[in-house]
Amino acid sequence: MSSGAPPLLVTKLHPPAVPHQAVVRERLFARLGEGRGRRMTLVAGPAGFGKSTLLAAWREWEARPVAWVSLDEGDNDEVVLWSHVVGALARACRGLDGQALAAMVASAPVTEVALPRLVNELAEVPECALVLDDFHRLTSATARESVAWFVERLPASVQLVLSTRTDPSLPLGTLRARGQLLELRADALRFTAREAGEFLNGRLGLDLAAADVELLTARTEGWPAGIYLAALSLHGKPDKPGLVAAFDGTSAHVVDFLAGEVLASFDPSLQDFMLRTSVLERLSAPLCDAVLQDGDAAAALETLARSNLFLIPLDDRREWFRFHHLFAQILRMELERREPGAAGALHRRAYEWHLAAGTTDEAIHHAVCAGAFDDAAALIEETWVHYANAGRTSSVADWLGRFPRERVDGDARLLTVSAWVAALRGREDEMRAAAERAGELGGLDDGPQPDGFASLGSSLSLLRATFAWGDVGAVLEHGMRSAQLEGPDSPWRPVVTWALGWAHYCAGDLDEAERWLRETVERTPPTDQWIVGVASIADLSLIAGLRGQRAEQLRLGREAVEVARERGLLDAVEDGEVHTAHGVALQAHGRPGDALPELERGVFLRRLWAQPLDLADGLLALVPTLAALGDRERAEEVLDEAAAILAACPDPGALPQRLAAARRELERGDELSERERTILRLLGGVLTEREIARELFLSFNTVHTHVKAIYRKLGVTSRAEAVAQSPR
Amino acid sequence: MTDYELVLRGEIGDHFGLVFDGMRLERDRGRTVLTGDVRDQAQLHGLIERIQELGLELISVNPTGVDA
Repeated sequence: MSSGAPPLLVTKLHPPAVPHQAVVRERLFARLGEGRGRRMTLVAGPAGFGKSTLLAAWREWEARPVAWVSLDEGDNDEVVLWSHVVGALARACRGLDGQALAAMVASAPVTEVALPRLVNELAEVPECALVLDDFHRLTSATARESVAWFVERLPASVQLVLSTRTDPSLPLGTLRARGQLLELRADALRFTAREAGEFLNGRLGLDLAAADVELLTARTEGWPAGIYLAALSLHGKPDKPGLVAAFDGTSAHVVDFLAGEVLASFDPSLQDFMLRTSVLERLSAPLCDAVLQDGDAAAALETLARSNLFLIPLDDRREWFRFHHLFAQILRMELERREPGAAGALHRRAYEWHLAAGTTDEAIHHAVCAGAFDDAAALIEETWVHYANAGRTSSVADWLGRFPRERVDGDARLLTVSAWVAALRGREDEMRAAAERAGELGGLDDGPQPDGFASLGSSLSLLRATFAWGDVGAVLEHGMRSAQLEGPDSPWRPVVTWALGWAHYCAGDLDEAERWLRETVERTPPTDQWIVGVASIADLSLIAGLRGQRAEQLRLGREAVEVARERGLLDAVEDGEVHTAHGVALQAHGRPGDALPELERGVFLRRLWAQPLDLADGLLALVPTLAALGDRERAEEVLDEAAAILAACPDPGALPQRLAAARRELERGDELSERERTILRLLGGVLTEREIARELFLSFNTVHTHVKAIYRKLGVTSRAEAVAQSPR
Repeated sequence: MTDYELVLRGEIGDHFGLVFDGMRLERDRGRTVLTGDVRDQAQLHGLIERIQELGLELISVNPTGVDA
């Protein structure tokens, strides 16, 4: 599996264009300015309170650069979220290395690696602000937690503004108590009669009497969307006071009363256009033509976009638009009312257009909305590997979640994809359940799969070989089966051979292991399977080490690091063994100080990968280095943890023997040698080190080195302490 | 399956029933009451979200019926 950053949806980084009729709400700009230097600025209010417009206008007015991300469901995948945040910040703040940060977000654990780096870089650039619009769309716990982390650690020079319909599940109470939260809530966001007047009369030239403006403001309670709907419905109506009076005379809700009026003010063909295109999240002329099977979209969009009241441009070239959210809701409702069930066919056409355009995300979304689960399933089955490689496994999990349960449960292919997705997310039970169910359904030998596997059975075998949860025997069994099914030209072959190589290494069969690993390394470039390619080089380094071939061990260890760096895998969760191997090589060359950070990193990553044998291997590698650095206590803790992990493994291979050997080594390493005992005895007397050297017919340097070793082994720093501690 | 009653501020027409999963709508003195069967929590939250999206104000949510 190769690696890469997810494609950015550039329209998300583009704030909504500020309609030229928008009122400049300076009193609110001033309030937003109060958020400078505080950890969070929260703009919270229901739909239609003009939050996005306000912030977009503020952005234009503000002297500081303001980065913008419009959040959507896709951002629940933290890799997607932070890729967009990094993209937005890189555009706004000069001095940020957008590319490097994006690569890190895609291949390294977000909160542990990428965010600290981002925060450090932000501290070095001039003051700026970051707006996260539609924050209520972020519902996943991991995404939210990553934002909470960011809030706690961002430099004071960055003003984080969250715009949301619902209060986010973040520690607001604490921030409030510490004076670190600035809030702009619904009551602050309501239009005053003066602002309403400026909008309706000043900007739109509706020429309403002051009393009528007052009335509208009161009737809508200053709800900006309501005033906006009033403007839409009054637009082009000859008897404006009449309409206002009628509005006042009814108890119907703004939305109900005005919605009908707004639509009625358009000619039927434009109404039709709007109703049908309301199923789209974003509109472009070619897309609308395809959905409506008509050639007039460009003209219609032009008309609607002109007044800036109905359509919001999403980019500078006016190629993509979206409807104002509330308006889109009203349109969809009205479409369903006039033509029940018509939306399905429209979603279908949108699916086809996006499929051809290659925007898979939206294609899948529309397929699901159209209830075209077969088509959605086909797309997912074909593309899930690319999403997984780009770190977007959660996106695939979300799409699968939108399928009816029965549809997934009855589909062996979808279940297999679910199993892989669950495994990649470290969910053992979910993986087993899905894989078992797929097995029960049968049809596993029905031939080549859209994702490149020779058969479903092969996919499931490789899944079980790659994610064996501590069972070496299982890796070998399933791996051998997979090796028979995935031939030398299969894109999956390197993953199979790596799994077998790793299993043989765990079992202590070094020659077998080497054979499989070398095959993996050879087949990596043509198949682009760099994750296993890099891991194999690292594993070969470890094997060289076990054979005492230290030069080769170091050479391979360095090569693994280099290739990992080239491929952006240096901090990938799947490749923790690169750091372990490099660290072990450094330790073998007498450099425990350099080895330690590498070994720690290896353990850290392998812990996240969640496979017990990997973690145990990483922990065992730490022990000699910790001992060499004198941290005996930690070395023992590490051994104990590794022992516990191995005890719980169904088949830990030869690792328990390695653990026992490491424990013996640790104990022995603490004992003084014959020579050292002799010297220690003499240290208890009155002779200087030089005199001791002469006594024993050794050079001074030799004795001095031994004395240092004695101090280290006894954990002391002076002669007196050493003597006090000397064994009787 | 539970019967729920959601009370909204403002009066809205019957065609809104389409947005609210076929719930019944009754208007009374400046309020609208939605009543109907709700399958599960996910559906209930979906209704509340749609109310939010339309900019309507939610006053109360209560289960009704025998098991309430």
